[in-house]
Parts: sequence; C-alpha cells; structure tokens
Amino acid sequence: MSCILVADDDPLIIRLLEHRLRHRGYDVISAPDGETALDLAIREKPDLILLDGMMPGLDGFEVLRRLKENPETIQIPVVMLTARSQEGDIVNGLTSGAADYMVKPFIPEELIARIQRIVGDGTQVPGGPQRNAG
Amino acid sequence: MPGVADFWALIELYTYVLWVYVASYASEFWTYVALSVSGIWAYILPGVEPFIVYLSATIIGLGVLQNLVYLFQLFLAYAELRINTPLQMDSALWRLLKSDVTMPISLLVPAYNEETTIVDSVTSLMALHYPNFEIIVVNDGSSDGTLAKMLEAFDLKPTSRSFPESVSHKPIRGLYASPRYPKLFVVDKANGGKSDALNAGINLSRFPLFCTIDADSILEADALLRAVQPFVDDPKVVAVGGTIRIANGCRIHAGAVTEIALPRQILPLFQTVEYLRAFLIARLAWSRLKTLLIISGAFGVFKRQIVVEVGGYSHGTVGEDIEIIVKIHRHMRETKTEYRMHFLPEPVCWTEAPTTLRALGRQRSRWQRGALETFFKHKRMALNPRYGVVGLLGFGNSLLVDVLGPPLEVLGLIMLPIFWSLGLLSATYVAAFYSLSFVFGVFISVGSLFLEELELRRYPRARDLIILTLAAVAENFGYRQMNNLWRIRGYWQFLTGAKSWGHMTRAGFSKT
Amino acid sequence: MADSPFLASIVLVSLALAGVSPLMMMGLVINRVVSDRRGRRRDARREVLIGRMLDFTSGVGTMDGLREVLLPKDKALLGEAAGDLMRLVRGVERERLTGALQDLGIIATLLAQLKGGDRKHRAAACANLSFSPDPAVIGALEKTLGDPNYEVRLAAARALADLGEIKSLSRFIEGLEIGAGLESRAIMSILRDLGANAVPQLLNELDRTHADAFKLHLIEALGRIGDLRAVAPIVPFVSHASVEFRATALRALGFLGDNEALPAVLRGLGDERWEVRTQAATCAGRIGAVLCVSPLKSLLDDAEWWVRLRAAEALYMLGDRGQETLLTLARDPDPGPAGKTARHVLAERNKAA
Repeated sequence: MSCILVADDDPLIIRLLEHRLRHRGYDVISAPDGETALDLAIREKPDLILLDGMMPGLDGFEVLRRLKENPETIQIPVVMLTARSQEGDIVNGLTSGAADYMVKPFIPEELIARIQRIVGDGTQVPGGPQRNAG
Repeated sequence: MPGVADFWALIELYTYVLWVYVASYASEFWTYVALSVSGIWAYILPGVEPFIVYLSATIIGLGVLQNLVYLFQLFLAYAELRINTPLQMDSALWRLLKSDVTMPISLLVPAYNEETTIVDSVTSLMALHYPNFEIIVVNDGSSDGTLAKMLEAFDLKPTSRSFPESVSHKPIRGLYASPRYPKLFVVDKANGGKSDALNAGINLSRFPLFCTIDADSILEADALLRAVQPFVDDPKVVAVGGTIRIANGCRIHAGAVTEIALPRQILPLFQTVEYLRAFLIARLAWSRLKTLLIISGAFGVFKRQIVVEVGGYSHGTVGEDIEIIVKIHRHMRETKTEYRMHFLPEPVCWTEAPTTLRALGRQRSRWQRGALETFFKHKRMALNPRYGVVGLLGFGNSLLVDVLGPPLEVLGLIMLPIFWSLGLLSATYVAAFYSLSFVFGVFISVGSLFLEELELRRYPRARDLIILTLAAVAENFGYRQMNNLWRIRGYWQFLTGAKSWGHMTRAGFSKT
Repeated sequence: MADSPFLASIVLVSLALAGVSPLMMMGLVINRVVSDRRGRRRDARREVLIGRMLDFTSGVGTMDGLREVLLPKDKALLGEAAGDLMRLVRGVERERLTGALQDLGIIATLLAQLKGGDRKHRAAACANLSFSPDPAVIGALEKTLGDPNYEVRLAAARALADLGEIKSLSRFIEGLEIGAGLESRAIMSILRDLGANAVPQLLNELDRTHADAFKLHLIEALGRIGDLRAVAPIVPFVSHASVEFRATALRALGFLGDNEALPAVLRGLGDERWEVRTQAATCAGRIGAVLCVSPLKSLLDDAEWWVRLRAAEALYMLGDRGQETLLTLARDPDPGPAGKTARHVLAERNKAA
C-alpha cells in the first residue's frame, strides 16, 4: 500500500483527507505541524506528502525546503495545499521542488486524481519493494 | 479639638499644593475642583489632629482613590470585552471576510545578544498566518554570534535597499537578504539600544504598518491577522496593542505554544495573575476610555507614517514603548487630528517571565523608571484639558499610580503603625490603610480573573482556575508589596541615575 | 481621637469584597466543570456528525445515514461543521451538502440563529448560510444588512456577494451605510468581488451621493476589477479637492493601466501633495508610457523620499528608456538624491551602475 503523509494544522482537513484517501486504499499518517511532519517524513518514508502552506512554527514552504535538502527525503513527491492568499508563494513552492499544488477550497476528487497520477493507485506499490507502513 | 481654623488650614494646605500644579495652565476651573475635593475630604474626617493626621488621611485618601480606579477599571473592561472588541471569530471565517484587504506589515525584531534563540524565533515568525509581511531583524551591535548564526541559517547575502533617514539611529553596517527567504531582511548596525534599533527598522521598512516584537517572545499564528483588524476597519486607527501572556509552564513546540498551562513556579504564577490584572484588564479599560497610554513593546502594531511624524522612538529612554504612545497622543492632540488606538484581548504574544527575584526586581525597577521618565518628559500634558481625556484621565491615573502611588504606599505601611504606636493615631487608621493595601486588592485580582474566565477562557482546565484563584488571593500578601519596593528602587534610580541610561538600555535588552 | 465611620467602612468593605470574591470564583469553577463536560460531549457529537457527513458527501454513505445520528439539539452543531467543510471543498461535494442541509432542517436552525443569536452567532450564521441560494436565506441575509452590529452587517454582505445575489446595489449599499463600519476595507473587497458584471451598476453609484468613505471604496474596487469602462469616470477624481480622492483615483488608474488616463497621470505627477505624487508615479510605471520619462526623472529630485523611490521604480518599469535614464544618473560619481535613489533601485534589482 502507498503511504501518504498529510500535514495540516486544521483537524478537519486531516479527517477529510484521511477519509478520502483510506477509501482509495492508501495508508495515511498525519502531522499537525511542520516539525512533526519533518520527523514523520524521515522516520516513515511516506510515498507522498501533502503539505499545508500555513502551519504554525514551521510553515509548509519551509518544510518543503528542508525535505528537499535532506538526501533521505529528497525523492518523496510533495503536493502543496495552500490558501488563496498565498498564491504568491506557489511559484516559490514549485521552484523549491513541489510536485504539484492545489488551492483551498479544493475538489477532493481532483486532489485524489492528482495524487494517483504521482504515486499510482493506492493498492499498487510505486517502484521499490513492498514495505510495512504504519 | 479641631475647629474651623483647622478646617481652613487643611484646605489651604491642599489647595496650595494643587495650585502650584494647576496654575501653570491658568485654569480657574481646576482650582475650584481642588478646593472642593480637599474640603469634602476634611469634612468626612472629623476629629483630625493637624499634620500627622493630615498626612495619614492623605495617604489613605489616595489609597481609596487608587482602589476606586481599579474597581472602575473592572467595569470598563467588562464593557469593552462585551461590546467593543472585534468579534472573536474563528480565524477561518475571519480570513474569508477580510484577509485579502489587510495592509502589508513589517515585523521589526530588535536583537541584542540573542544567538541561542534568534534562528528559532525568526523561523517561527516566518510561519505567521498573514498574507503580506516582511521580517526586519535589527542586530543592535550584538557582541555574540547573533548575526553569524542568522547569516548561516538563512543563507543571507549582503544586499542593498534604498531607505529614507526619516528617524535617527546609529550607522548601519550592513544589510542582508536571501533569495530563499524572501520575507526576511536583516540589518546589522552599531549598538544604540532598543529605541535606536527600532528606528533603524522603521527607516528600512517599506510597508504602511509595522509591528514591534521582542526576539524572545512567541506570537500566535493568527496574531497579526487579528491585530490588523482595527486598521482594516477604520483608517483613523494609528496603533493597536495585543495581550501579553506568560509562557512559563506552557508547552512550546517548534516556536509555537501548543499547550497552554500554568507556570509551576510561584513567581511566574503571581505574574500570570498580575498580567491579567494590570495589563489585560487595565488596558482594556483605558482603551475603552480612548486613553491607552501604553502598548507593550513585545507586541504592538503602528502606522509607520505617524511614528515617523513624531520622530520615531526617543533615544535614552528605558520605557520607549510607553513614551512612543504618549508622543503619538500628544502629536495627534496638538495637530487636532482625529485618531484611535486600540488594545485587543485576543491576539496574544507569549513571553517568558523572569523566575528569580533579582531579575524580576530589575525588570520592575526599569518599568517604574520608564513610567516616571515619560510622565515628567511630557508633564505639560498632565491634567491639562488641552489634551482631553488623555491629559486628564490618562495622566491623572499615571500621577496616582506611578508618581504618587509607590512612595505613599510604602510610607503608609511603615509610618502609620509607628504613628499608632506613638499614640498619635487611632488604630482605625492603620486598619483602614492595611485593608486597602492588602485586602481590597484581593477583590481586584480575583475580579480580573473572573472577567478572564467569563470572556476569554484561555486556561484549559477547571483546576487551573482554582490555582489561579489561590494565586490571586495570595499575590496581595507580599508579592504586591515587594513590587512596590522595586518600584521605589526605580524611583530612586530615576531621581539619581540619569547618567546610567545608556548602560541600562542594554541591560533591558538582555534576557532574564 | 474620634474614629471616623468612613475609615471603619473601608475596612468592612474591603473584607466583605475579599470574602465574596473567592465564592464568585467557585461559582465560575463549577460552571467551568459543567461546561467542560458539555464541551466534551459536543466534541464527541461533532466527530460522529463529521464522520457521517464525510461518508455522505463522498457518496459512501447516504443522507439517511446522517439523519440517523442527528439529534434535534445537534442541528446547530451540524450547521457549523457543515460550514467548516464547505469552506474547504468545492464542486459536487459542496452542492451535495448544501442540498442536505435544506432537507435536514439545518437551514431553518441557522436562520433562527441569524435572528436570535448574539453577534458572534449571527456573524457565523451569515458565513454558514453563504452556500445556500435559497430565497428564504437571501431574504434573511438582506434583512441582516440592517443589523445593529457592523461586523454582522459585513458578514451578511459578504455572504450575499458570495451567493451572487445582489440584485439591487442601491438597496445593498443602503443597508451597509448605517452607523459604523462604512470605512472598513472589507466593503471595498465585497464591491470588488461583485466583478465585471456589476461595473455599470457601480459606475452608476459613483454618480450618486454617498459618504466619501464609500465613494473611495467604489473607486478602488472599480480599479481592482480591472474593467476599462471605469477609466473615464475615474479620471475626474484626479482633480478632486481632497487628497484621498486624488490618491485613490490614481491608485485605481494604476490597476487599470490604460493609456486613456495619461493626461490625468501627468497632472498627478505635478500634484502639490507627496501622497498623490507617489501614487501618480506608480501609476505611470504601470501604464508604461514613455511620455512619462521626463516628468518622472524630475521627480527623482523630489523632497520626499517615497516620491523619489516610486519614481525610480516607475522608470525601471518603463523599459529601456527609463532604465537608461536611471543608469545615467547612477553613474554620477558624486550623486545627489536622484543619483542615490537610482543607484539603490538598480542595485535592488541586481543591476550595477
């Protein structure tokens, strides 16, 4: 199973994404802030990371920057989920190595389609050997 | 037995003192007020013996007045919380409503010898939820590695920025920025104290609003969004202050307060109650009367243009955050410009409180000195009708609390029992004063906590409330009186140590 | 020494108040314990409702599944949770949820909140109703434009604008114009979000009598909408007697960036007030008219630093001719204010002199 890390300080988003992604057969882990997201990314090596742009402490763009600096996590594709007022930062995000981005409010189906395009169906394993997630 | 002669002697004594003060404004009205106040006072204290009793009566009278002011503050604060403060909407809702019309803000972060915390502080400031802001860190000639740490962590390179010499400050040694952190801008300048560092930040900022922040305090993620609200709603707003709360005991993770809890040490716990009483409630009350005289330097948002008009922060002051507000009031009143200042209960800045008596005492002496400096520097505003409510109520309160309060309270606590033991005074006087000094405050402290719980509810557990109530009672027996002694020391430093300003400014910067 | 009853009363009052206060606090502590329990129950209920709501919107569950767990007293809670979710998602899921709210009677609950709640609830109800284009909702929101609290009025206006249900702009404006809050920039953003379709109506309002604050919002909103029909009607405001109008008009013309405004911009560059000159300079840069190079160049010697900066930035934006002017000034070995500003502006853009 592909494992997806969702980092967002809004618990409702986490619930929403967990709900949708699990139904598609993905394994989901979540982080309420940037620091935890970084820790989990290194420890759990998820297949994809969904990052909120606005998080207290370390914001999403900084987390992205650090993920892309770390050889252990540089390969993990990152999708940014940002508020409209951060549109200026989107370019910044893409040049820092985000695989894709979406603006809130979003269409959940569209988000899932984009995720599938990057990591494939939840039940398949993208490249690499089978691993135990969770 | 006191006769009519004593009565008139008393009136003469009081009016003479007040005359000297009031006469400079040549306002007959105030003379009459002074006359009637002293007359009434002499009347309700029958059987007074001259001088000793006059003195004691004056001390008690001012104590009563001070406590009435505190009581009045509670009512005003309640009204302000209920009616006037912006809606505490969910930040998601709020963002929807107004965030796309917020003005850009420059965060000014003066830093002096902050090498251990500066990188974390700046990182967490960059994560604030706000559409358009820049962070200007001003390294005020630190002698440690503050600048080097930043240069390394944020990959900063020398840069150039045109800026006006709107307000004065020590020479700038270098400007740094990084393409990777477009929001961050670092100024390196010769040491000149906090006012000087802020002035440099003001000159370099290019946004209509700036926000002052202490390098070692923590802003809540939506603090700027909330603090900007009055500016968005009313172009006449020139400054907005937020609430300072004590971070000791809270769980802090990655530069953000993740769990609010009470301090586990007694001194910070007392300060928690004190911050509610003296900063939250008092400032809400004065804000309601349009008489706010202080916005804490740890978190205040200002209209840049107005601060430039008043010449920026004054050099050589220890209370630059009080002084700038008074200067703005003065300027706006003198130019007869309509303006507003607000204090908001909800954007919160968390700050680490001193945990030792030494550090706390130093801080309090400094605050007292700052208050006195500002009062006497702008004394022409005091009780001067030309400055409206600010001159009458604001400065009147400052006269009562900052100028007369500390010496009179100490005098009362020491002298009244002595007078009594010498048989010069009845025990009732002593009892009255001691109840004012110790007991009445219990109601004020607990009342402040009451309002906090009724309207803001920041402390998560019911158990916290019980602890806070105990602390609110206990702080009146010892802690407040100790504070008074520190204030007296500040008084002394103010009267004698004018020359040690420069040095003290630096001390004020260092961490406790 | 006679005792004064006044002094004795100080002691008594202090003791009484000090005695009462811990008791008052105990009342609040008990209140807190009760409300904490209620809060935990509420959170648990919210979790259940959100679970079913997510099932329903994704098509995994049905509306009956949601109805099944919905207690009558939880309707307000569901209204709030649904609002939160609808602000996150759009498309089919949002529509599905909007329909369900009607059927489950949540809309009625929110309407009741709009009428009878405190200011916080009224404002929240406005926001949560802003996804339901129901005639009853629109009627209620229109009525709320006359709410005594201006933040609630703004929330209602925002909801109506989001619903695209502003039929008569005049009526809409009348509702907003009572009491405080007219100066809020939130009004500008609402007017702006009415979009290009509303431009004729907005221009119509520009001709009518309104408070100055409101007209300023109108001008800025028209500028930000970016519809060129607004250029000609805004131009006269560049000669207005008030500084705010002149500056705002030039700002708006800057957003519009149309050549037709050029004579007005040239007039603005020579305005007596620096606040207007800075706006005019920025506007000139945005329009990109080479005609402005020489007046902008003379503004580089302006007494006000902001005018110098904006003029230099504008010259930079004017392309080769403007940048050439800056470079020449910057090469001056002993630069005056103009040369210094040129140097800095070039350096900030990594162009050495």
